[in-house]
Amino acid sequence: MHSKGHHAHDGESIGGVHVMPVPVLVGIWVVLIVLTVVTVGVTYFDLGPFNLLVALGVALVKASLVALFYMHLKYDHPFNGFILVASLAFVALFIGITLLDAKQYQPDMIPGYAPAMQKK
Amino acid sequence: MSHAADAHDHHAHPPNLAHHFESPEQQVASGKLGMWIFLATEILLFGGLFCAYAIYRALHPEIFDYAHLYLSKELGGINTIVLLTSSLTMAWGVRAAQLGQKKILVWMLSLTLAFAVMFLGIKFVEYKAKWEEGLLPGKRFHPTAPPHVNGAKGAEPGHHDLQEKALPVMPGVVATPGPAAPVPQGAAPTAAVPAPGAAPTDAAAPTGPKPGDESSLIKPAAAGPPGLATGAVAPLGQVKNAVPKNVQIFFGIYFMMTGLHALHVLAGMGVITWLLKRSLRGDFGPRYFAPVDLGGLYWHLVDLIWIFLFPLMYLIH
Repeated sequence: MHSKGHHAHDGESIGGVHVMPVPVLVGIWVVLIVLTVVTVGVTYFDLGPFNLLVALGVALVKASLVALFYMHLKYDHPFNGFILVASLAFVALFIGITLLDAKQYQPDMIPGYAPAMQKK
Repeated sequence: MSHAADAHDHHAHPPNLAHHFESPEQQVASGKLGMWIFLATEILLFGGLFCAYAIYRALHPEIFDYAHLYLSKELGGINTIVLLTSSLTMAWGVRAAQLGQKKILVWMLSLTLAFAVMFLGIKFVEYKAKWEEGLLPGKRFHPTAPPHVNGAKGAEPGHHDLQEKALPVMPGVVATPGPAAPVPQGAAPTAAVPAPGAAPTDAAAPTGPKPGDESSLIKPAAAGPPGLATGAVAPLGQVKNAVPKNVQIFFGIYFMMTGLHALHVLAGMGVITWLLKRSLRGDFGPRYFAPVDLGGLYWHLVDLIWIFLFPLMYLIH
């Protein structure tokens, strides 16, 4: 299949199916734990809007590692990865388009109801 | 394709190959494709809740800034590590199944199950604390204490004084954490008071307009459409330091998202138990491991969703 021979350097291959080597599995786990500690640690520093960006960025890296290695997408048929990316794209569309005009509906109709928005 | 002739020949039929597939490879590829499509629908299902989260956080960052202090970063972090570790054991289990290492497979599936139990146990401790502190969604939201974090907004007595002056108590509509707040906890909202989940109309506010409040120039809207302000609203300058309104919205989102996730953990535990039973029977080996592989994909998706839930719920700065 697709993975046969291509990735001989980073894994065994049994009957054309890629097998994850133990050092890679454990290595990914160590990176995931370190990133978890980092993302908790970052909350103790005030980076303004970057706190949210860092948190989501670290989560994205962690999710990519899980998807690529634990879920085998790196060695799979690319169409499976395409399905994942497509579903994420649709979620992004869903959230993005909903957020587009979320602030357009009389935010200060009730004084004090949306204080964060009235500062602007 | 070279197996096509064999596969249709009943005598040389691989035991786990369904008749409508040409080869074991095709069967495995189809199974994986189906699983990924299912996982895509799961992502879209959670996408709706993430959308609700995004909208409310964009509109009311003050609620999230305040309410997340009720959550324990430590417990959330430990649970993240537990779930990541269960993903490691699951992926290792798939490897063991592929290589026909029955003993390792049984161990890895058992460990994964144990980590899942640990995750739900910690989740139970967290939910129980929320229950006891009155941090439930909607009209069940009656917090008994401010967030137990040093320097938290609303934790100092001074803020309560301010809050009592600035925000008249509206039972069932405005949540006022803190022992000093004179909320009649037992008083059920009357029929005239809308559900707290809805936009507060302030129509049932016990106090009338205060002279001097600029907002009091707007007439009370007891008989008007919901949403119009009455004089019972705090002047803008003071709202920033007070306990925000509608904190129960955060807990609605929190319980929905983590609750749906916990249901998925339960479903995953069912799948792993089934895999464990079959692996004890010796069903899996290099020629047939697709159920372990696909069950593992589901388990990793549960992990993926938690990877995003954790920073969005617990790590708000």
